[in-house]
Amino acid sequence: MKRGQLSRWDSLEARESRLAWLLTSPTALIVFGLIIFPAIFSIWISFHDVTLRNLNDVFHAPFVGWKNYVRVVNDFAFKFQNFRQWGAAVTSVVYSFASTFLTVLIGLLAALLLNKPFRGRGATRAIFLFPYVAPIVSVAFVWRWILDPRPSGVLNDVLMRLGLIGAPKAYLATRGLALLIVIVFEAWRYFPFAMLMILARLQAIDKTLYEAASVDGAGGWHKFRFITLSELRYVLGAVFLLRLIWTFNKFDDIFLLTGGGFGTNVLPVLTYQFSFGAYNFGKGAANAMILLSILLVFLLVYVRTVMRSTD
Amino acid sequence: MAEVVLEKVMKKFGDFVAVKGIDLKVDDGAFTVLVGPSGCGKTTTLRMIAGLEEVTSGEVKIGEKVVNRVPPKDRDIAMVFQNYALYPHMDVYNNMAFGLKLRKIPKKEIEERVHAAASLLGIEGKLKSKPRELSGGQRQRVAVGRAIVRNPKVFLFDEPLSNLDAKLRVQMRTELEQLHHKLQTTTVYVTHDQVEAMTLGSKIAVMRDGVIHQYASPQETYDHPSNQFVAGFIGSPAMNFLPARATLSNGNLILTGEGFTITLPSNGRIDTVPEQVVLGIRPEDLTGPVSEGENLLQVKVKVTEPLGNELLVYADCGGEQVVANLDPHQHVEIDSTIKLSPNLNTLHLFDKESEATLL
Repeated sequence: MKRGQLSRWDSLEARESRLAWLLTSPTALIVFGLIIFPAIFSIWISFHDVTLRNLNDVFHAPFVGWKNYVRVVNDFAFKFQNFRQWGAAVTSVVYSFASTFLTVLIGLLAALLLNKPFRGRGATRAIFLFPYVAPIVSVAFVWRWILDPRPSGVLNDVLMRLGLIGAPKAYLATRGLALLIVIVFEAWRYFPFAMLMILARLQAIDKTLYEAASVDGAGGWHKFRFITLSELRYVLGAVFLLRLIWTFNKFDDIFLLTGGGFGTNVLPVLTYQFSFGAYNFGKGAANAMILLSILLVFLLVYVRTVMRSTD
Repeated sequence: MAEVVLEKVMKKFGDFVAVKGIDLKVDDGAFTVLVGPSGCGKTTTLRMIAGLEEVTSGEVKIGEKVVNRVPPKDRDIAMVFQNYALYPHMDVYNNMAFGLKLRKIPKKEIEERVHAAASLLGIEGKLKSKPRELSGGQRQRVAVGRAIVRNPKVFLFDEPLSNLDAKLRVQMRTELEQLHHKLQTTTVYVTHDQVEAMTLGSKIAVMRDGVIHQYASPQETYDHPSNQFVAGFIGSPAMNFLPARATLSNGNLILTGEGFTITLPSNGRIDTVPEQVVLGIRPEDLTGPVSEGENLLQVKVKVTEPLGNELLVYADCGGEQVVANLDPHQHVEIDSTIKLSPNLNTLHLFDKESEATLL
């Protein structure tokens, strides 16, 4: 080898690339072990008959083809029966879209409110963040305590004292109302996220645009419609899709509030019920795969609209 | 079309008084330039005319009507902002049509007006472009177009050329001049650039610290500045100021300083002088070098800048810097001591204390 000429192994580029592999490998291992492997294993399980019986010999579980999927789709808990029995698939869609819409709407209103300077704005901002940062278990139980069906439940007690209701009501055990409550809960819990995102964008809007619009003849509504909303369009879309994806995947909120009962059963909770209620892991995995495929559609929309947008 | 009148207009931001009770009358169809260094209150004044800033006290009138409590949208004004403030999500056509649409003008007329303005400004080919696809000069034209389609009573410009490069600035300056000539709309224009002020304004208001120091035609401000500040601000390169001692004897005014003694026949123009004065000589009023004569400035050359059409000589005169704009067809040696001859007819004299013009 001539002097001054480095081997490929010793070149700066090669050394940098080795360092890169070294530094990313722990993350890569964790991602593979905790996400990619379980995901692929779930796909495998969804095509096999895995139950409590053969759990300790899972790799010899019999292959059943699409049978798990057919059983999930025909399950009364999954399938739309009638307007009283929506089934988890329809409930999931209604729940996710409604609560996401409400989340973004409340987030937008809160952001608009906090965008204007006033006394105590900092404190208000901190209070608004509370539902988002508080642990889910504690806030879910506070809501359950307020909505407790016994006469001692906070809401029951207040309404009865005011004479608005004669007998205590079981809010979370009433079909329709229960779904409405979990939707409102979701919006209440996650609006601060939407608010923060929208507020950040809101404060970046060039103030002279409003001045130009004032001079052009725009009143408050026109300025909101043509400047604020136009400038927020991108962030609103991004927040909506992100929240939609996350809400569609959400398990703990509904599980803690209603356990999936009274018309609030959604796909993530149903997956849990199939797997750890009925111990039918094949069916649970099949249900999860259906959930995943719907999520992939949302994700595709997100990538194609939000991530491609150059605005 | 309308005149704009400010009467004792004051603006306070907290304890800070930005504009200190100014009076200003912009005639119908006139082009008035507010000029001054940063923080002099010129933009605040413009924003008060626009209605974007509330007037603390005094009156703003547009066409006889007091508009202090009238919101910007009802003042029938159009404004061009320093950063253009084009609506980023609208194309050029809609940017220009926005104000017309809000005023519920028939669609056909909007189309005609936008196309007329676009062709006037040479941006017809860009009507479908978004602002971010345009160059600085094109954005500037759109911002001007947005103002002219409205056909308002008054145009307000807030440093509209400061974001453009030097060449484009000169080009847009002449275009604005032509535009005003064509439309004859009352215009108030804010700039910190005295060249812009001189070239554009039919009258210029020179401001400092919230006060208008002089409000006159460009030539008048150049020839007869009301005080030392205006004298130094208007004209480029700036006027030279030399501290001097003044005495009157036998009808002559004798000015002495380091490096010069100048005797002026006072001709009754001046009866009394304070002892401490400041002599003001514009660079273009100096000629030389001369070898012999009366009333000369003896200076030591520091730097020379041959510009082709003129030769700028930066020299030291008794510790003060003096700039002379000389005939370029000669050689001036650096570090040499030369004599310059000032034009005695255009000398300026200021009170050192009050900065007021004496002569």
